[in-house]
Amino acid sequence: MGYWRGYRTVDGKTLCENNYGLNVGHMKYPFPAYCGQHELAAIIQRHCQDNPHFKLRFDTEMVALEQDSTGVNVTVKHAQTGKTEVLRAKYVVGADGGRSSVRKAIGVHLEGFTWDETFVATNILDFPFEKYGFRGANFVVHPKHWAVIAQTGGDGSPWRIAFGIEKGLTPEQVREKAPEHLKILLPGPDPYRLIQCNQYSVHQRCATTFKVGKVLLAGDAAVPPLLSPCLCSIGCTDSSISTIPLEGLD
Amino acid sequence: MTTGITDAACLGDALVAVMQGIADDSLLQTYSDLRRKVFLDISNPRSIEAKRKAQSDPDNLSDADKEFYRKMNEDENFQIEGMKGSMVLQTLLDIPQPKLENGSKEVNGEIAGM
Repeated sequence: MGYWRGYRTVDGKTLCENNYGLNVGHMKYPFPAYCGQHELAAIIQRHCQDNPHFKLRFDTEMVALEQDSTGVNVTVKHAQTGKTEVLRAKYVVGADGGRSSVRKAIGVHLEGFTWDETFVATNILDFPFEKYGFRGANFVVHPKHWAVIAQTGGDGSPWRIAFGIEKGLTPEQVREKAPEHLKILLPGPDPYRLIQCNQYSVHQRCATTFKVGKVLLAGDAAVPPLLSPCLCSIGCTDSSISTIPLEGLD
Repeated sequence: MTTGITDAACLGDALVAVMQGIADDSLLQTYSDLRRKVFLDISNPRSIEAKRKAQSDPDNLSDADKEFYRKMNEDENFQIEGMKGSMVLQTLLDIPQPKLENGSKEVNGEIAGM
């Protein structure tokens, strides 16, 4: 079921459906793996904890960054104690999200544009998507009620539904209006549980460079989340993430 | 998120090679250049196109979109190309195989235990 992708109309007619099984023999990793960010984060955290080269620090904020020809001094502040500390690193990787402090500290800006539209990402539990022919990942094609509907993991994981909504609403108004949109997207009388509902902006932006001296950017810090949840959520491909000691922040 | 994972894979490979002295520091600039190129050439235009397709009117499709759906239903090679999606976002650097850390095992060409 998770190996299919479909384009459908808002009233459930199929425009096309494709099985990733066709990719077998054409590429090394033919199937996408749907995996919510929280699940991926837990996997990465577990690997870091098991690896003696890593030291994870939580509740720690970068407050300043200076570099010279041999490395980087990173000043961090501990949220609970308020104490600051300077860490010395050969390299620093800023993978600290769309509002990256590291990116700002090295003076790199994002070029591109932000859509003048408002998007809503919801997580849904307990709706019988299969019964209505939804595949693992679905585009609902419609000028107003378009949506991306996708599984975020195995059985019991929430489904992600992302859609557009009118501009200028407060977060409370978005949560009030979301069920009207979901009613159009989710056919039949079946109940569902809306467990998350967030408004977000979508950017088509990229850092002008991913490297300044000994400081590197990766992930959302370099490219904030792009629109297409198909590109954002479909699959971890061949991320043979090798790990090494950076003697400092990662 | 997928572009971020593929950034991490590429950057991890580059940092391993630089820290182990297999490659010089310029490989990190190569990382930056190649990953920006993936955004400019692949993820950005595809993402914009996916949005346009999702927001089109299925009762009034352009000829190009009709052709897209026809091929996605009938043309196997087109379907395979169309489904590569995230699989084309990864960047493989041209570097020698990094030395494995103690305790890591290589299984079927994949590094395990890292």
